[in-house]
Amino acid sequence: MSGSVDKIPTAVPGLDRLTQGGLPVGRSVLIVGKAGSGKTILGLQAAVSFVRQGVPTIFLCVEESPADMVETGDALGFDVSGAVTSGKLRLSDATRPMDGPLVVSGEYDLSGLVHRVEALVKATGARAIVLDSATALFSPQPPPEIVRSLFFQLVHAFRKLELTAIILAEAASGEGTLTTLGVEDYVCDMVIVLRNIVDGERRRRTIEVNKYRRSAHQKGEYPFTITAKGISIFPLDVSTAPAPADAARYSSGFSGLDTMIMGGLFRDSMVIVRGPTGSGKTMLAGLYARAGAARGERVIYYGFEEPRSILLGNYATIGMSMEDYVRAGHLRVECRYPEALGLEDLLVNIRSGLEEFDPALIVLDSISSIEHSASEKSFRQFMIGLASLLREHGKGALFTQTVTGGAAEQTAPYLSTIADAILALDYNTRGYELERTLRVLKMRGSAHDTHPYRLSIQQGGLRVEPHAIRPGPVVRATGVLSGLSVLLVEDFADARETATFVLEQAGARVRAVPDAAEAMRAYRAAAPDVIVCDLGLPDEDGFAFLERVRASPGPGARVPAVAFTAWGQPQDRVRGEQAGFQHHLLKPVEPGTLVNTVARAAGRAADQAPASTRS
Amino acid sequence: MSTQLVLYVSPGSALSLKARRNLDAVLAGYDTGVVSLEVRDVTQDALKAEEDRVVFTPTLILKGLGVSGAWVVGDLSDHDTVVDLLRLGGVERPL
Repeated sequence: MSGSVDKIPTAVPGLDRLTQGGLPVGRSVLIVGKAGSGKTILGLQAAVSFVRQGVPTIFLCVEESPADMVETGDALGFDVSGAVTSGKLRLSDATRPMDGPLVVSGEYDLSGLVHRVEALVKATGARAIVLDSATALFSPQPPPEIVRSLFFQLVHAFRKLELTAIILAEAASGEGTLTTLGVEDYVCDMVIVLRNIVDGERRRRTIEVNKYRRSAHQKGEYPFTITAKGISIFPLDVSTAPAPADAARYSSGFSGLDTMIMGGLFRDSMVIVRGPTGSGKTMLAGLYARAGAARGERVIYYGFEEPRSILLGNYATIGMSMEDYVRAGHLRVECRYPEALGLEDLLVNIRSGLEEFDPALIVLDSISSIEHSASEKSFRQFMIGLASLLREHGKGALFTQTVTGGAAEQTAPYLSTIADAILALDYNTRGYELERTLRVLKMRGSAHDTHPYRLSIQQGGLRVEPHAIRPGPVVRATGVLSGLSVLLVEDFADARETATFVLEQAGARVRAVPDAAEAMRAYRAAAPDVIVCDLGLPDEDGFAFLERVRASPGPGARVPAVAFTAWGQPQDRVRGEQAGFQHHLLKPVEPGTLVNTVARAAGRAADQAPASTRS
Repeated sequence: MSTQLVLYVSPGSALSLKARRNLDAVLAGYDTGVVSLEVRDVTQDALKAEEDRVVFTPTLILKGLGVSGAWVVGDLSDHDTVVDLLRLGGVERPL
């Protein structure tokens, strides 16, 4: 049956999605709410929108005078006075005489109003009408059977005149009937309920399409807010929102991460970066934002943790200045406190940002600040609202989330549903060193490395490497490397230790150092038989180090070298060969592979056929 | 100048006919010329009904009292409401 109803859109943000197209043409719609729930604003907003669509509309003022309605509407920027001047909006005064008594003597009906409406329709060509409100019209309230018959008379008249009618009514306090009059919903084709809920210390507004005859609609309550521009609804329904259709990938701004997720993030995908304080979330968010801005896309960065000047200052300090991008107009940085703003207003803010600035990417750092400022339910509504907003607009987003326990275990189910990708940052202390990890928990629609990678934070960015050694049998004292001296250059402590252990078990004497400067000193002190060198190093890279070795005087300059790295692109291999590496070992490697490659580099027969040297 | 009453009725309405009858009965007790009555059909005089903000029919309006006058809504089956309305307009029923 759905789809058989002719609909007129209201252009009230979000409402036409809830109603799957708008209000039923030529039928009556009841809008129910308590005083202050926004009924009149919604009615006025719809009326002005009808007028903009070229549909002449009558607004029956029973509660407030036409002059007051003009003032209210103009204050909200609806330009009611303009609509009235154009002749397309007719405000009809049906207020009670305030300056004289009104006495009831016997029975009456609504013919007076009906004939007035008929005359107005004739004069203006009106095709829509708003009655504000049924409750005020029947005040003082006649007996129920009279109200029922009068209301029926009115709705019947609207129907006969083929008017799309919006009837506003006061919500009843108790259970039982929907409205104080208790009759309106039976004869209307559609019922919309506005609620005003106090949730914790905060007021929360919701809207529900309670009934829609012959039409499908989104069920349940959805948050809305009244802004300086009127009502704005968040028809958040992630399940019906289309997943990102674009399979194009773009850089996350962090090349190591791009490798882990096989080439980059999908366009319009939502990424959650989770981890404890100090694990590098904000830095990752900054890389993401900068990469977008550097590609010439527009990016909005919402910071909720510190004022704008401090955030920008922090980025500048770590070598990731945002100033140029901000100045070029590619990056907009907005910092606010969610507590002060309220979640509905924040959503409105983000929505207008999306509409006005039209960014390709947005960053929210962090959603935890938002979470802490609201109840669980409103945070959930916020996130779902945000997600559907981003889907609707087809935007990519990155959210950071602070977690205190294990980053992997704490994703609320709805957050996991929202996110197309989830990245977990973490750290633990190992000896005196802080060891950081980055793990891809989820990457919808793409293969990805599920193992945690080592992460290091350095000036200007982040760096990751997979664990150096894969679990596997260690070649024990077979002597294949016995007597060989190996210089191992590896900045990650655990990789250094594991590789040292593996090589020593095979009989090698290992000198292990964390950077190029120390490696150069160790090389000059005593030239080794083989160099095993990581390419990504904190000071200079492995290429530059080996080039210096090759350029140094003496026979040591020809020492065999093995690149031991996570850099596996063809150009990395080419550069490795040019720098003088004979072998290229891509991490993670099995212990046997490491040993055999070092043996072959030293000109010894491998102990056993390497499983896969990837060299 | 006489006190002016306007009765808004709708055509073919039993309630309107009843109001008309009730009003005539009450006015019969007053001197002619003291009260003037205009009966308006809402279908014919919709714009005047709009001006007078008439919602229900029948509606009896006493003019000349402030902006919107005083109103009696209904079929006027309670005659005293009409007597009170005229008294408000300064017209007493002769004994």
